[in-house]
Amino acid sequence: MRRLRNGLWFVVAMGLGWLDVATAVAGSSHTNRIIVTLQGPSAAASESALDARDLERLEARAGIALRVLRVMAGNAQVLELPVWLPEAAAAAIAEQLAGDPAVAGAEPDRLKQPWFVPNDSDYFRQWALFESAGGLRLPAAWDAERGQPTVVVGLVDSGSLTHSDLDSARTVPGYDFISALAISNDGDGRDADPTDPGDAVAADECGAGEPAEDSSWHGTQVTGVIGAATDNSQGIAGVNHGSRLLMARALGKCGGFTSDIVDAMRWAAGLAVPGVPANPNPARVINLSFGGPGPCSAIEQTAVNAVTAAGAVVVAAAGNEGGDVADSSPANCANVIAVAATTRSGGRASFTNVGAAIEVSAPGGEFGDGVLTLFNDGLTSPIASPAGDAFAFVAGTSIAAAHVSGVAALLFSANDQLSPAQVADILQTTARPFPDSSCTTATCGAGIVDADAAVQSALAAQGLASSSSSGVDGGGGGCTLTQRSEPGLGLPLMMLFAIGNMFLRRVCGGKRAHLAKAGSK
Amino acid sequence: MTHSLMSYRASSNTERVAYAFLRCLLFSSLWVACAPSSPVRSDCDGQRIIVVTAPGLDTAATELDAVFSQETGTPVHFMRTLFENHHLFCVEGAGDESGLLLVMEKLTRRSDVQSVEADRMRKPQSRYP
Repeated sequence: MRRLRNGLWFVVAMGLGWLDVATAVAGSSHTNRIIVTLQGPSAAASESALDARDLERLEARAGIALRVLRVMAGNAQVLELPVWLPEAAAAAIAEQLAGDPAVAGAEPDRLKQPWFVPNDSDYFRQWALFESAGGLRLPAAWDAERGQPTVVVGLVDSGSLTHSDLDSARTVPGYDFISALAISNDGDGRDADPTDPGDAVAADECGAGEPAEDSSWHGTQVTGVIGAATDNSQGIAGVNHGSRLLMARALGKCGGFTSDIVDAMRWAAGLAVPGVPANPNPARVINLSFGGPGPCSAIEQTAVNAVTAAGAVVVAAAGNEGGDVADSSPANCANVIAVAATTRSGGRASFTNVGAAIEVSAPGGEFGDGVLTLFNDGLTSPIASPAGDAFAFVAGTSIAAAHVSGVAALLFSANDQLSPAQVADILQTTARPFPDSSCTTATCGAGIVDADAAVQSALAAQGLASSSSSGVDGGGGGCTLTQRSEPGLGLPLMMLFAIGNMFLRRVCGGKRAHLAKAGSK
Repeated sequence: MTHSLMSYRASSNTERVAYAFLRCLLFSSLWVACAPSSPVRSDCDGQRIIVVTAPGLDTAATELDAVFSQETGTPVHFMRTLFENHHLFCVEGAGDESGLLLVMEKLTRRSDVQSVEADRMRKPQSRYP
């Protein structure tokens, strides 16, 4: 009888694709083990394996052959199944076993895998990505989504540089929108070369009393935060490992004019700009790591509305004046995700602007605890890569905004049907609470961005969220896993799971990897 | 005796035709150089403003530079169209910020202008701790 039952399970499992050990190992969504905790007389004797009579009773209840693999501490035993099953199916069996008077509890022995940890040599210094206090919780998010090349992140910034820790294959052709020669610092006006020639200035060059400054390589800083080459055994990791990067250069010496910035924003989103060739790679995320005093002007708001209508989400730095974001544009524009900066401990950064117009906060660093990113050793002009390649700890709402832009690109990568408003909503509703009173929802937005929760929410919005238990609801063109466990259904329930498994493979296609990862949590 | 091209009275039909052609050529050249549809002018020795003109205003057929300069009493030069009816102009000789505000107020009062704003500078928002 036992042989017949095992044989039946084997046939059913093979036919329905449950014996996908490769998937089980890779996705940790399958198991062939159940942990049973005993109670009563069986528990008293549980330092040894279950006796044959107990085991046979449990087999009858589970409807499948069981073998005691080993005895655990705490009155528990590991039972092995003859086949690998989806966790949902294993959970249903466990539930059947839990109904036995000798069993205090039973659960699938889930395969756990470490979260994705990049092998970049300086990753351990990037507290903003992984630390529990002030970080973005990215490693867990990366298990589900690391960034798709179909998503383009537009950076309206000071230009780009070649760097050994940037993947040139992820860069799409940008444009230099700086029209004034005194600002462009590259000897010409607008052209198709967004290379950053440096923005160093002499004292008083940007106005009386303004100090001399070395080149900031600000565009390279922000690019590194969003999309440094990751898992390449050197340097740092980016927030997003696969999405492409588009540089629209609009900041130069002394900053950038609104007129050039607005053109750069529109072009990045794929809108027409007079005299400039069309952008064939429209961005879904536009990062604005700059700002200045004053209200959101009419042309800024018009531009934000236009690019949002074109499908791009706009992320803006709150500003570094330590004041009210209401007086810092473009962060104070409507339809913009304004980002305040938090510290390594999750508190409010001393420099960040705050206020009711802030949507969310993200790590921006602090004096003494900056965010590590890409840099160049040139003081005025760039030193060519690789000789000039450098890394620097920086701080600012620029960096906070860049973190959020990288996460926003993860969300579009996880679910390309999201609208800009949905991305903003997900970032806010999944943000985690501030750890101390230096930031509140009245000053620093909804919370600190939680990349893992946000990605899971983006997947759920597409109907790909899975849960740890059982059941399949598949309606229409979607594929939604829900928690549902009906006791006593035995084999018919298993069949339902199997059909569900096939259904998910058929409907969800390539997104099944997300499902498996999500289900492992 | 000195004559300007405008006031020169030709004595023959041939001369009249010739001078008419020259006048036309000169005005055409001036129009191309000054009209808002001229190539992008990248530099501005003064302050930059963004002017939103009334919908339907044909900027190519209107000598906005001259009209705006006359209106404000200071040289105003078209630089480029940003998009739709949003245009970038350079104001020269307005002086300090209050002078520029005065120019903007005068332009805003015109019926063919919807709004005017300064082309403000924006700066990067990162530091080195």
